[in-house]
Amino acid sequence: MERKILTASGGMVLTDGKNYGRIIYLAEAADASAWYEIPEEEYINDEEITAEEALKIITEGGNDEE
Amino acid sequence: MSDINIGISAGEKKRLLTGGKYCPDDIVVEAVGGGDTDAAFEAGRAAEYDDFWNVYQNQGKRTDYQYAFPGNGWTRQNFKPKYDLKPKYGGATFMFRITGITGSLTDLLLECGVSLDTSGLTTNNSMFYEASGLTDIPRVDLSNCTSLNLTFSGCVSLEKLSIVVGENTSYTNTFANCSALVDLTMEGTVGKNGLNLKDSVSLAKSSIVSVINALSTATNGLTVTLSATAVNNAFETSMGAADGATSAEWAALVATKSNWTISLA
Repeated sequence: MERKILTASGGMVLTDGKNYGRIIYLAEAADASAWYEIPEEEYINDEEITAEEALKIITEGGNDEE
Repeated sequence: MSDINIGISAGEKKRLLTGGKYCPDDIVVEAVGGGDTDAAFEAGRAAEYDDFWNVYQNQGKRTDYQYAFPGNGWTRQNFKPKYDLKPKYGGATFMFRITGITGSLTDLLLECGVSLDTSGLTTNNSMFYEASGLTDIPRVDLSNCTSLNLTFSGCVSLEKLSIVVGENTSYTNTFANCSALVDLTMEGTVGKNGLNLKDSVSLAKSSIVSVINALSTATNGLTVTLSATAVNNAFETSMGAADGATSAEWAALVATKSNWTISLA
């Protein structure tokens, strides 16, 4: 089975709500419809981690990366 | 009463006349020792070093190193552990948080004749959090850790890292802002959750291969994120083309882990 490759439009970033990228090599069993585009500025803001969030990650384990 | 300087050197004697006023005889003062003040100073310093590190590392038995070397107060000049560093269980949390120790931690520990043994850790959260001056860290065995939260986050100068990971390890912002990382070796298997290396824009080809090779073949639904810049430069087909993501070599590597979603950010 061939991998599906998703590519973000100019100025946009793809996300599934947890992960972000401009080129996505989907796993064979992955659902392409889970990925959608957001403007690049939103991605940058989403990626910022506050001191409070950092503390939560340290003390409670936080959100896993996947 | 105040001190008086009677001006004699080591080995000399001086008679202080009392005239029988304060005591019946004259006082004879003899300066003993001295002579080699540098040696005396070094001996004192060595004794102080021993005293400090014997206490700080509990005669080598210390296993809880939480917050042990954080902040700018710790530098290459005063970080001179006497015993091997062997944190256990969760005992490395914030161990080097925002430490003022700069450069190669590997070389520094070698100079001190000690090692860093992390194989006894079961969690490793924020061990090197924002240790922004470190350029390399000795190989760390984190294979028994269930979580690596923010472990190397903010290590903006870190260029070289070799880690051993376990299949049950989870990663949360583990490598956030590791922007200088070039040489990353991952031993073991990544299998519990995804991995994000998007900030490591200078990863070498061997490092990217190491990461992809570490991804478990037995899982589904996980994502690894790499820097598009790193992949484009590492796998470029001709000098300066930065077209690595379209190369056959990269496509072949990606194909080896078709059970993973691979994101280029």
